[in-house]
Amino acid sequence: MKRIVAGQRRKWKLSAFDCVNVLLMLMLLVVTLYPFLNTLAVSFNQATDTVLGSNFIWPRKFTTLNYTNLFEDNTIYNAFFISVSRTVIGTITSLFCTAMLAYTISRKEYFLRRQISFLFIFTMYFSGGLIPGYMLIKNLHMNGTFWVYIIPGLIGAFNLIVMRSFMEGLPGSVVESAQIDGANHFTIFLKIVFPLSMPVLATVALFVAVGQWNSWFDTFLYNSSKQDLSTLQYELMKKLQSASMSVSGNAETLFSNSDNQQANIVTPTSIRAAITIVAAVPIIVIYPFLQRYFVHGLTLGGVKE
Amino acid sequence: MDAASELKANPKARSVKPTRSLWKKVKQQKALMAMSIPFVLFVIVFSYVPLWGWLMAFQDFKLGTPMLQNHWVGLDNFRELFRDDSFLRVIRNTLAMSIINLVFGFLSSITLALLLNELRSIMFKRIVQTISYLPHFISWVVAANLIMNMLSIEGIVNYILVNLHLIQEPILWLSKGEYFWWIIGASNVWKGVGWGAIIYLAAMTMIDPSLYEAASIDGAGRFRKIFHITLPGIRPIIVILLIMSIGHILDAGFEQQYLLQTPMVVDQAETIDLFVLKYGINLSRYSFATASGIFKTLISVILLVAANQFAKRMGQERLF
Amino acid sequence: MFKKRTLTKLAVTALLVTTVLGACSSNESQPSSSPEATPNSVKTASFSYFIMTPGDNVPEHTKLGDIIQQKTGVTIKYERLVGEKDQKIGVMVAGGDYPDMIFTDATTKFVDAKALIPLEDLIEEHAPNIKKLYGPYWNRLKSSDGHIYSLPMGAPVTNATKGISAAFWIQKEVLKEAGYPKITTFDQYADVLRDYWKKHPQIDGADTIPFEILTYDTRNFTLTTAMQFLAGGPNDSRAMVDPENNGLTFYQTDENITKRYYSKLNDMYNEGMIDKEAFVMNYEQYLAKLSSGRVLGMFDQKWQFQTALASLKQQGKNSRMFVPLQLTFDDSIKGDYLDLPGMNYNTGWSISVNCKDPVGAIEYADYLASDEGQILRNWGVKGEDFMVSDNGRFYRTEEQRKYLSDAKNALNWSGNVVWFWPSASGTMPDGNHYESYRQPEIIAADYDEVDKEILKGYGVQTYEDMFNPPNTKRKYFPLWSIELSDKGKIFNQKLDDLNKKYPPQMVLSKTKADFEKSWKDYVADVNKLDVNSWMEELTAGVKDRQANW
Repeated sequence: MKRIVAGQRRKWKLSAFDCVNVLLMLMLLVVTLYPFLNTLAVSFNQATDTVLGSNFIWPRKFTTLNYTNLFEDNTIYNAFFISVSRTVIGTITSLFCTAMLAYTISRKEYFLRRQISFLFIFTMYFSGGLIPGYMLIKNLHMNGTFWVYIIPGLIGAFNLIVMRSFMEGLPGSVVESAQIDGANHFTIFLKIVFPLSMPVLATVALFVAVGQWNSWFDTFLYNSSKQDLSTLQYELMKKLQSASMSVSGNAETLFSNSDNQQANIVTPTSIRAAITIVAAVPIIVIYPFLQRYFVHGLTLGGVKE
Repeated sequence: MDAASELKANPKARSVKPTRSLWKKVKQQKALMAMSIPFVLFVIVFSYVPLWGWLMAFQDFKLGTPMLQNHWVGLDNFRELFRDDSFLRVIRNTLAMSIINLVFGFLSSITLALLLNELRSIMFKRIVQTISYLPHFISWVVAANLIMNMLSIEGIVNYILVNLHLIQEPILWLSKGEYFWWIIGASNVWKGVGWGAIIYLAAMTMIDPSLYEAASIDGAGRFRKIFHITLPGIRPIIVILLIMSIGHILDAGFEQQYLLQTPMVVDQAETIDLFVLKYGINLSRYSFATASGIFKTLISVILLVAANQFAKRMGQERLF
Repeated sequence: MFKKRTLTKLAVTALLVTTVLGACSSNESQPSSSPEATPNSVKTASFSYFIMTPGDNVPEHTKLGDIIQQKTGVTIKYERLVGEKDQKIGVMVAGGDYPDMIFTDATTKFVDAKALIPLEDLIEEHAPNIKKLYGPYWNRLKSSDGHIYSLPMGAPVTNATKGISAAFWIQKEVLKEAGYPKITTFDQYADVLRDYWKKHPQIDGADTIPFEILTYDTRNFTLTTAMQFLAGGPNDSRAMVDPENNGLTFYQTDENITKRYYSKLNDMYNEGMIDKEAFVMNYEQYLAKLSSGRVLGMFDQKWQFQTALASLKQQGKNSRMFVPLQLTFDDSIKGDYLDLPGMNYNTGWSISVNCKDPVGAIEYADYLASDEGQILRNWGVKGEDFMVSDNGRFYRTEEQRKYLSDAKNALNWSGNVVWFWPSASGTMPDGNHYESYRQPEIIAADYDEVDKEILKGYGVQTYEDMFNPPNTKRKYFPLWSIELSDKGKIFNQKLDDLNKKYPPQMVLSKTKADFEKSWKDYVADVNKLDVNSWMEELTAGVKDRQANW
């Protein structure tokens, strides 16, 4: 199917539109790649040199010190494992639950669909505040456990609505015929709607995974004293704040630090660059993998007609 | 497209008495209920139960005092918020930046998605897609630093404009209040365009390819296909996202404004979130911060419902 | 079909990982209140200690930590702050989840929440060393309810000093070229900068910046508090205090102080002496300019530009580094730049209500406050981390200093946490300083050739010698540490907002008429605030401290 479409396209001539389009995209590439290259370069540049100004995309004075500073503490490897775990488990559970709920409220005949939608949509616009949220988790005895990373964020209202919107757009005929065949809702959801929704599942998976990977606030609130449940982002944050402290803390808060720490000084700027790279690269690489589902969806969509 | 599923909603049920029909529905739809009610309980516990914290807005809350033993002050915190000299200015800035972000955010992401969709080479498309979403992973601290460097006297922006003879001499962009909102808007587009396009790209894959084939046979050109097939195809998701964003109109953020503001543009830079951060959270005034949170929620809900009704009347997709 | 199998696989994987993790977490889900607190057996006690400032994870074994652990039998489980302090305090108090001990600079918040236990009886009964150090400051340590809840670091003893922090700084090269002139007023300072700038309009190919101002975010205090030093005040920042009669001056709208300074800066700006980008750059751009070696002078506190100094040194531009100067508006005013040695009250080490063994905790702290404990914490092990000269002076060899100056070594040596316990500041009976970084031998070892030349040029031993000693009549010092009411805090923030907005306008004024207008607008806006109540609040605080301290 894919091949046919592609073959058809090849017949088209390269128009002026295509040229302009490619040109525009190239410009976009430059603009969006620059900050990343710059950060990468800063992360491999000596901090005392970076202080002079950071407009470069290739390290002027190469060093790996900014990275070794991050990895000298072994706790970061465990934190990395926890981050991966929460991202994998959190994404799978969230994806499944969100999709299931989205399926129910996408069914036009479901008499609670509007109420449930509103109940969730409303949550995007309020918050009870830091302390009530903390007390809730504490009273549920979820602090100090891994589950505090998974359960509270199980269903995001935004993702739910996006999924619902996609599922409403699926041709009704598919579900119809299944219902006539006597399949129940759970089977229809699992066997028909779920596979047909691959593009939106991939999209939401990306959103959830990035959110899971980047979050550190739940670690801060609930697991800060549980070193073995600490997450990568939290440990990186710790490194950054520690670096900020040791350059700007006044003499009293620095134990035995003179002006003398020249050669291997790390500044918040350099550490932040290294942290950005360490934190971003593992999650960035999942997007290209998810992109293939964008095409799959097309194929499946074609098949079912 | 939905005609079939609409048919399914049993039309006879309407004529039966309300309670009986409700019971009948419950029985009929118990599978759907089993699949959704647990999550309803979930959202009530995790999102609605903590709302007891809103009581703080009507108190002079002191940390460490049990909730109900705090001094009750009625609407004093709200009054203080509305009467503050800077309140109107802060609201103006928030709305201005929000609207700029909303308009340009939507336009840029949709445009990017459309253009990506038109790229012939799948490989090139994927590369652009992946790279354009990189700025999403750059924190505002890093981004703000880059932006400030670019806008400095010796920065790239002045360099280009001077060499193109568009300006006589370098401009201190961040010293001019009239540019600030646009700088925020532009940096938001830059940071969010690739990320924002993802959802539209996903939506485009759901469009039936046979529509394009039929249009080609009819001799439709590139632009006609974009405007008559692609855009209508992603219209539902655009409308839904738009309604949700309108509800977020008072969330212009604080981080980027905080980082990019200079003493010269404070009157344009301060948003409501920044204001609450300074006068509420940073001073441990939980009550004041909660009061402004409630105010924002009220406005959000009003706008949300209004936008939803408007969409309904226009015959568009609805949020709820 | 393929889809389904992938899904099943994913689900199985998830389940597996879940069970593994579940098993892990169930092992350690003991009551969270005081982890591993084994009751009262003296030899193997363990305490949790939360330090409300950021820092690296404390290694399980550090050289000093292990020695202390062997001597006391006590293990401390440290946790350091990550993220926002106020949020952390908020949830800690709301949930009552206190560690055994807390270091915080917001003791009153914990006291209000009844989270801390009074220390005075414990100290009297179990902590002679602490009593010896803190006895002289007993009343100052008391919270408003008359109890002592926290012990700040560095109780001043004999010869306590504080280093130079706030000052007008000048590039060493400028001083050298001018032949080490005596510079005591701001006008002279501006003249010296101007002369050098005229002679060297460029440094290393870039335009020379005679005077730089940091105005980014809250760091703009370098602009808005500099004038009080010129008018003879110390680092009080909120108002100027006359220690003779305890009278306070609201200098922010004073024509002879604040207006005079901004007017002078306005002249300098129009002359081209102040960086054009002074009001649009962020902190990193400021550091970049300082590091480039083309900034001749600025007002700042040293901790803000340490990074730039490090960079200059790294580039070998030692003569482009900075020297502090004690300047006033004119010679009739006596400069008062150096901080009076003192502690930050409402700050420090405290024991929480969750601590099961307060006696064990105070005994441990008392050991660390003993001379033996303090030498160990500050200097380390004799012969390994520091040396003692024939006449009994403590010093570190080049090698030892180099070793400890490496951040990683320092972390493995002390964990960067042994400082957060009750301690003294000043000299021991034998004349050595408790704090190694205050020992003259250690300070002198940091001076390079350029420094030595300058010090010789001015005929002094240290840069501190170029400054007047702190005014001991200022018992209240510092004013900024007086705890304000909510109303006072709001006033403070409002004043900060105005101080952010108007001074740049004044400095950038093209004409004197513009300047006057900005000044008038500023004064009018400030006067719309309730200045009087704020001043009354501060005056009451000062009077109370002057009388009781």
